[in-house]
Amino acid sequence: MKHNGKKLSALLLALLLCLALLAGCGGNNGGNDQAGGGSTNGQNSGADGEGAQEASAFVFVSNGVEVKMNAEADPIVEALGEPISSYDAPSCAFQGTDWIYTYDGFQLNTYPLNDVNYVSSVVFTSDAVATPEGLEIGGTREDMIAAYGEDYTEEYGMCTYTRGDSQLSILFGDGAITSIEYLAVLPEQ
Amino acid sequence: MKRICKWGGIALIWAGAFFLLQALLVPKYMDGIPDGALVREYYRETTEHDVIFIGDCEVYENFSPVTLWENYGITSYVRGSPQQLIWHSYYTLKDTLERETPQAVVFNVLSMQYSEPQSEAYNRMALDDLPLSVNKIQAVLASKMEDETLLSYIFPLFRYHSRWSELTASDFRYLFYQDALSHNGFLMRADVRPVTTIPEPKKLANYQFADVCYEYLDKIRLLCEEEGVELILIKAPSLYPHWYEEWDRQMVDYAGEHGLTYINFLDRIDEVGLDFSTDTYDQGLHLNLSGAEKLSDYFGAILRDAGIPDRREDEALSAVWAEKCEAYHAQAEAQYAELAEKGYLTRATTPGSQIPAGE
Repeated sequence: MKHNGKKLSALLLALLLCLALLAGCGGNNGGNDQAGGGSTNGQNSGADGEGAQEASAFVFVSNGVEVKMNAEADPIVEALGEPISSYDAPSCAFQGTDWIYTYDGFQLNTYPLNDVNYVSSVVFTSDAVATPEGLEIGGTREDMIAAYGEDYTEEYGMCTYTRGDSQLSILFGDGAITSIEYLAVLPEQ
Repeated sequence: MKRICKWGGIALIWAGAFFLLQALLVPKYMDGIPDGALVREYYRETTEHDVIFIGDCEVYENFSPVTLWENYGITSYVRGSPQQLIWHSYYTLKDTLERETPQAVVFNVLSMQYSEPQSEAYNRMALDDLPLSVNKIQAVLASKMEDETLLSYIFPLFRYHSRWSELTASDFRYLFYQDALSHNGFLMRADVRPVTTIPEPKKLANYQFADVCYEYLDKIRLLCEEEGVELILIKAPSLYPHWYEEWDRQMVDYAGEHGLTYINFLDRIDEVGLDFSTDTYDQGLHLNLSGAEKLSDYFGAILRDAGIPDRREDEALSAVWAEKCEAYHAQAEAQYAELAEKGYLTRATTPGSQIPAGE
């Protein structure tokens, strides 16, 4: 019995030592939630609102409301007024909820981070809207170059300009623009 | 000899302390995120299964093994995990086929759209509870994000050590044993949140599935062939995220090329009898209990016609499944009663609810 008591004491001591060591080695690699932490949607994990934006980043404007990528979404959604519809898509295992707000001519998508929603993208759905530089669905490659220049990458008919923490992607089909999308990106991406 | 015993004893004590700490600090997924518990629950099964489902939430929320048993005598298990990517599915299947040989494997093809790991959280929920083996190591190497380490999957304590300050009573309560939260891998939700709108899908620049996804789909197919297991490809009838025509065509072509069955249940919503004003709990992302039972009943007939046997005459199996059915119906009744009383589900009846019990 006494022998068992000694073993138990040694075990407890080892346990305490381990705790102390592990607490000490700390490090901040997440570990703050059941699911192992990490990004919620695989697209963004480090946005910190407008502070991360660079002055040159792309900005979409609707009825005088500026929509910046990685900006806090709720004030923008409020300023834009009642959407035609909204849809919340919780990710598997409650890693956050993406919101999709549909307005006349565009969709505004958000991603969650630390209980705050941020703008992840603006996708044009018709020619009812245009970029502040005048580009709209149905436009031509010449229109695009006139508005944004030639500093873009192209893959599968999608031309992408990157400025600051934002991208502007313009998709062509049969010589005309079929899709325009503003997209939030991480600064390091 | 005495010296060896002494040092051996010390080593044992340290190892014991290490594993005890690890057991304490790893997430148990008992509060609010039952999806994380799905992988470990499979290893408690005492009988084999004729059908194994692999895939993401579109399998573990949409197919009910108990319905397959009750209506067709089909034994099945859903080996799903949240956002299970195709390499997760392959290694999960490999692990499964080392333990049993089902007659059919059903793979949900939604994950064909992802060519890269998406998040550590989903990797953890897919891989942490796979038993340590060469297979697990290969799975981790195929899945890990840039800043993740293999060692932290072998010894999760290295990942979760900082949870010590966030431990709750639940971590101590479920230190050695966690309750079963699923019904053979199926997570039950009886509440209803109807579809009122579905966002318009955006146009993509490239609809072609990535080579790496085809590589793993081939591996899944070849593994099934080697084991003499029929592979059935499905697309569950979840309305969001959007499943593009261009994607569907690729799966039709792949199935045709390799003589596989591919069923896109989105094309059979009426035949299945799904009503998205009553059969979903989250606006069409997943089916609720009534939807999952309708889909399972429909699919059960297909499986039966494909030759999956009715095992209800097997007394030993029937006894095991009787217990499963009892637990399933008890939870269903509890959820319906809570819905009738409160209008919503809490964790008292539904581990996946974000509303704590008693609220």
